[in-house]
Amino acid sequence: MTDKPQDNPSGSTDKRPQARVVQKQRVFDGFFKMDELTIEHDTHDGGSMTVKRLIFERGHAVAILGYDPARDEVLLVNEMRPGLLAAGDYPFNDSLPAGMIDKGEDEITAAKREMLEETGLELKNARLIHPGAYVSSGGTSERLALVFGTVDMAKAGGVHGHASEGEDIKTVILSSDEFIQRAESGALKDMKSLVCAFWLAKNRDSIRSGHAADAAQNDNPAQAAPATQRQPKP
Amino acid sequence: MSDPTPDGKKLEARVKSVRNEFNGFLKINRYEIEADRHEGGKETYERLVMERGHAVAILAYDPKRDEIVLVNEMRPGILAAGEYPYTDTLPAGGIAKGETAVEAAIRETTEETGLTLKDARQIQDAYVSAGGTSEKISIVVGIVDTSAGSGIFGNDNEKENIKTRMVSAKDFIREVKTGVNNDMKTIIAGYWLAEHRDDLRAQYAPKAGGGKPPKPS
Repeated sequence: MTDKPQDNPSGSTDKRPQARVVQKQRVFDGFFKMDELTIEHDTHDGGSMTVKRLIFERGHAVAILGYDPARDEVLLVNEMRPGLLAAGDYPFNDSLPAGMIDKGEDEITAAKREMLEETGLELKNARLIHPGAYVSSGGTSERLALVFGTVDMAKAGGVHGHASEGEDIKTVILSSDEFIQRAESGALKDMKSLVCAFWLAKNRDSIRSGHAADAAQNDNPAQAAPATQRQPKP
Repeated sequence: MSDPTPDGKKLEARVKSVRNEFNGFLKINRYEIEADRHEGGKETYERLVMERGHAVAILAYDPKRDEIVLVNEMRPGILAAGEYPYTDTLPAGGIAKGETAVEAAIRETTEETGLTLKDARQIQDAYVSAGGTSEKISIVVGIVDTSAGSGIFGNDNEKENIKTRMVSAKDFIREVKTGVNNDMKTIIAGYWLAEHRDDLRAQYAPKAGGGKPPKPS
């Protein structure tokens, strides 16, 4: 999945169909960019085809599932979403904190930075739920990584964001039941938040029992039961 | 929903003007937006939004064989991102003017897989990346008969070249949960199927060992 789509050098054993960009033209260059790619690619019946495709480029992103296992609460943010407004929908929307990954940053570093900028909170025990899923790969290169971490919800609240960038981000705290219920009912209309809600539904119990065991061990190291698995697999 | 502003009103935003900055199969529009601020007052700013209409993706399930249909095609966005671009995703496509999501789902299923989608209903509706695009995707679940097997399909006008892959529900759910699948809408469908597979089997294939009867709604 992470192989580079290069021309096969002689002796390559990759028998899978291959594709390559033969020309790339930047057709829009602003805060976001648009490229027209000319792509030569193998077809499934053993032939080859050349296509031109527009690709919207805005870099890659990270979304953060910030969870307080003691309180069983999830951290969301409410802000005006231009895509919803453009679609004719009510644009003030609760979703997970998210942002673009800067050059030289990895997903975890970006997640911690965005959490601090958007909510003022420190993200602990951060780990990848998903290394990066494509949001709409027919027309954009945007890949979104999902990071899970714990936060101290007692410190959460207020409005954050860079005012100079027009950011106006209000913290929203939901019980995990409410967050999961919104996902199941269709009330949560944001793809990244949906995936994280379903992931949390599956993993919440093991996260909470792992956290409780850690807390017990910290309080009474001599008397606590052995800690259960600390990093449950997704 | 957000809390009201300090003076008790629901927050609002309005489009003051729209200017088209790029016009192709994908468009970029510049929106001038006047929005309430959470702590009171208003501000005006500009945002670029990529627009391409809305799309539908289909979870096509065969309850007798307990398998679903994925499509494998070259995904230009993944190639542009520098990864191997042939991946398995749900069959999907744009919703044409005048079509409902379910109608688009039935049409796309036939075009991309050669199969007939029955009992189709929408299960999710989600914005793919609302900071930068208005694109919304509807996920529609429906029943198919996969006995015809896999093949190569696609709309020649759109230069599509699609190979279908039948995968057991169990393998699909595992691929989603272990992070093997790298397509966001397909991941959502995998989690949904994990929750609802028993109910679907009980409803459509009770003799095939479908498990518990459906829960009362």
